[in-house]
Amino acid sequence: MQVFKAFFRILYKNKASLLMYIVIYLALAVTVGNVLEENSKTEFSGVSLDIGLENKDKGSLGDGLEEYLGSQNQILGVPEKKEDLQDAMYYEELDYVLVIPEDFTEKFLAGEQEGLLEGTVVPGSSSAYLVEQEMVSFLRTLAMYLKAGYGEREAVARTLKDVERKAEVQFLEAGDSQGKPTGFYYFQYIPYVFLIMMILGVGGCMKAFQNKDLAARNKCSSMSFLSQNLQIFLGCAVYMVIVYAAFLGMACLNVGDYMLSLRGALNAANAFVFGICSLSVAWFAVQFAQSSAMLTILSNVFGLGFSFLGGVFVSVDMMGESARNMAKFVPSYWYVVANEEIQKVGAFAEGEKVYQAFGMVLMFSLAFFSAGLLVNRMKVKSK
Amino acid sequence: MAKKVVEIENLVKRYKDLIALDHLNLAIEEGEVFGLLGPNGSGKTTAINCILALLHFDKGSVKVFGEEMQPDSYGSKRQIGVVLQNVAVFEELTVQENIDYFCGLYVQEKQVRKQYVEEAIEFSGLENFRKFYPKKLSGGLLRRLNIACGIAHKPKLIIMDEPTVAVDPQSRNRILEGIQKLNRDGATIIYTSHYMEEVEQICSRIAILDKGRCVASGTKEELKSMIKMGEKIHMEAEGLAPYQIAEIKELRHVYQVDYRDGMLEIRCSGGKHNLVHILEYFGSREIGFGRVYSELPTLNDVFLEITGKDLRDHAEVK
Amino acid sequence: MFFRLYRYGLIRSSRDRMMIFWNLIFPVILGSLFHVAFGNYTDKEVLFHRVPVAYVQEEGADGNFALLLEALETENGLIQVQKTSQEKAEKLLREGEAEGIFFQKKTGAGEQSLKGLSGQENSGISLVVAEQGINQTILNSILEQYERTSATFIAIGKEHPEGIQKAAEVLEGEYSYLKEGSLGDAASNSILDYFYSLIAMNCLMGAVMGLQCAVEFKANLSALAARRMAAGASRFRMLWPDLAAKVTLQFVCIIFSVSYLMFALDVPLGDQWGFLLLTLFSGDVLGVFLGFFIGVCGKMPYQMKEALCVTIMMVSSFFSGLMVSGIQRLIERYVPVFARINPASLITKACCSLNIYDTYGRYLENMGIMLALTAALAAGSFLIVRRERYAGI
Repeated sequence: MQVFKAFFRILYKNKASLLMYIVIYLALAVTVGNVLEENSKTEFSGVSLDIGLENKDKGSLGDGLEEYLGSQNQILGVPEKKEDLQDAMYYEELDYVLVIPEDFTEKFLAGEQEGLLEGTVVPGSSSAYLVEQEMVSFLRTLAMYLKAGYGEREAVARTLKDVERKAEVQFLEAGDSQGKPTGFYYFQYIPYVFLIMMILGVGGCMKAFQNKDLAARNKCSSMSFLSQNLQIFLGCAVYMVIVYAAFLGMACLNVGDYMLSLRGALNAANAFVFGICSLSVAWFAVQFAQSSAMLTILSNVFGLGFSFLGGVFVSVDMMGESARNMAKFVPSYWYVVANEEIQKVGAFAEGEKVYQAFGMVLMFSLAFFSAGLLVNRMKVKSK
Repeated sequence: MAKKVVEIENLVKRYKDLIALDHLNLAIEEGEVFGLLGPNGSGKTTAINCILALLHFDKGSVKVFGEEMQPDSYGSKRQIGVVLQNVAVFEELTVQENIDYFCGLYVQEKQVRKQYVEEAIEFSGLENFRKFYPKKLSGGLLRRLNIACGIAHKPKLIIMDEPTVAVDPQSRNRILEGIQKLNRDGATIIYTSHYMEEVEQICSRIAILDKGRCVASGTKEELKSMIKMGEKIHMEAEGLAPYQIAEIKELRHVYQVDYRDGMLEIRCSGGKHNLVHILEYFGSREIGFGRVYSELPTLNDVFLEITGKDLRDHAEVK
Repeated sequence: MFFRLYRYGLIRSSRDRMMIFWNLIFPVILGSLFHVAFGNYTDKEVLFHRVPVAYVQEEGADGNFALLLEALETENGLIQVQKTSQEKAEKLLREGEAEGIFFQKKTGAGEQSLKGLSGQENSGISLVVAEQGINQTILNSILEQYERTSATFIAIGKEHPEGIQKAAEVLEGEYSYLKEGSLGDAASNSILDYFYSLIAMNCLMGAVMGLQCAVEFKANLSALAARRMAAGASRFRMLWPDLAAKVTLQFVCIIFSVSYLMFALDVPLGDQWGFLLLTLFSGDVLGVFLGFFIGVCGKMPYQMKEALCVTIMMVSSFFSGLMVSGIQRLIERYVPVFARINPASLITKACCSLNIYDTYGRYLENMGIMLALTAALAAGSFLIVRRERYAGI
């Protein structure tokens, strides 16, 4: 087992950078998991925002609008100086700024609709547009009542009542309603870190073994070529299992209860399947690495590229049609699919789609392994 | 008395528990080719790094051209050429560019530099490899490039730390001849090596370092006279009995006799007619013998006798 | 001497193909990926695809909702409706063929006061979903809008039936009640943040370049540095041209990839060229000095330092929103100190402020912090290496 031992000795030399990735991943997965979990909980219930509102309206409709916005959000004053206002928005003290002009009621009653209010969304805020939607909804309903012949006060009261109506939403399976568990987010980003760690770890060792002189020296030894390769392969496999075990262990520490559930087990299986796939992607990628710098680049190209294309960071739902089609040719997409489907599974027998996704990931493993083999053969021949 | 180019006094350098230089004293005079000998880990490279003010040392002083050497003694540094043990050239630059780069760190005038670079290329025999990248050069050529980068600016003092490691005999000869030529042209040279023949061939004065101390120094002749051995005689002789060997050992000047596989090695400590005495002994006892030859001591013998024959570990402190 | 060494610095760096690839190709690849993924970033709130939804209608149920769905399908292209039975619909939902089910019960004309689960008057329509996501939010808002409008119509029909025609007219018009915000010029959206973040990452890639400078500068890191240090010129006179060359080359790479984003991918990064270039340059210098600092301090092996550079770069970019959009806002809100010193965030925010605000207060603040960080890193590095001799080589 000399080759196997040497494999791990080389690996051990790279321990620092590999450990660094584990630590960083942990920090990211845990913070992002918690933050996003909070965010998603608010998706149906609407968010409460900090709105800067300046009501100059002389009529009563402006008050109605203010009351409506105030029922769900915090209403704050608007700083007078433009510079201060910009600062307030810049430092996230305000999400939205609305100015109701003096002649708002007058114009609205006269039937004018366009450009009555001055609203500003804070740049980069993803939820502030919801406020605009709500306002449009309010003003429309108000306009309908007024046109139909209601008095100002009556119309406002009616409108306030109507816009409070919520759609009735039910979940197909009971217990699905509370967003996604932290465990889901913990596993969501696994493809990125697995790919990087496999390419760096395996790559570092393989590069040492593929060193021209060393390879020649090894070929001269009495140990069979097959046996050497098998040992390297075994080394890779053991390394993968160690990394996997480390992540699983951290998962247990973080979301222990979840890991004991059926879904947790499926997630663990999913990560394992993707671990195999990462290994074969690494084997493929290493064929192109001539130096350690190249290895770093490759690990990031594959890690980030697959993660973005596969919808690890940004849900494929957000992407265009062509991107969604392209995503299907990336193993991480199937990992994400499995990860999402797992959240719908109630019993082992129901996981058909999950198992299909596992199958796809395994197919990709085979594909990348064969491609790596092919490139390797070509390289050997061209020498 | 010639000017002292390098003066090292009581230099002490420790690496944690290991004493690399132990009150080292050296003085190198102008115009010398000074050989610094010593087993692995004896402190040669450390001494050189201290001369160059690369290393911090614990005690003592280093003077170059009569001035205390500091990291910013640029005036002195400009007169020094360095060829370090490891090849230190830019992978991304060609042979010519590398030499020009390093020469340019010393020589500002463009015309002069151009001429110097040309001369360095010629000197190291790299004319046909100007546009080559270091990666494409063979070991010998790479060493020659390494040297060319160090001497292109025509320094007064050249420090070479094992410049001929892993070089074939042709390249080595060329390098050695080059060093002698540099010396003839007026440069003082400090030269370290494990190869005794090299040092014997080119060095005018030699210091032997061991365990951080200078254990011997002087010209070759002086060094050779320092050791007991004056002559080494080899004889082919079959079937010598132990008592006969003991008798040989009793002969005048003989102080050590080794007999192995029919080969007799006799070391004598001076005296002019050792071989005659030995042949007389063989004749009087009617012992047959084959080839006989006599050797004067080499630097190798000096080295081994002074530093001992123990194997040195390779734990050179990096 | 400066220019000669600078020239050599440029020659050397530009022959390092690995470096060029890393600096040039990588942002281009990622940028293209973003482009493919997010497609159209000039329009706000674009829905990129139709949301498939199943519709189950009990016999005799009111037909208005069906009409609305049809309109949304054919005119707006918002959804893709499949009218089907309950069992089939649930199957579709389970298999992911539909994102949700609109389930409409029969409500008699006289039963309009039927109370729903939430206690409000019920139209008898509910949305059934299997998970929460963007698609479900869209379906939710469709139903909500319908609920509200129909409630309004019912109220008007009861109390002011004569006005119902006029009220309906209101619905037909498309009005924008809001004036363009007067605060800034260009509209920003969260997708642009990805690109700003990418640019920030590209700037920070200079760290690896700075690290190389350090390796060629410190005698205990490479034989090359030892030789240079023994040379007859001040080390700093050799260092400046090297650093300048790295900064230059990195800047060229950044310009290239930013041009690619702006002209090949049409990402609207703003038109304040001068200031944008200045920002990129400051980011570039910051990156190079970051790497140089990492290079000169500490005794880690080169590999480790390189990994550290890459990691800092990735983490910094992550928190500026390279991977998860909106993370920067969260950091700004909960850990403002970190947001203020995170290099990638600074670059991102500087670019952002240029694009959004018509005043330069925030821009200058970010640039100031960037400058201060660079100065601190530079000062730290030089304190470490000043007149340095080494304990061991």
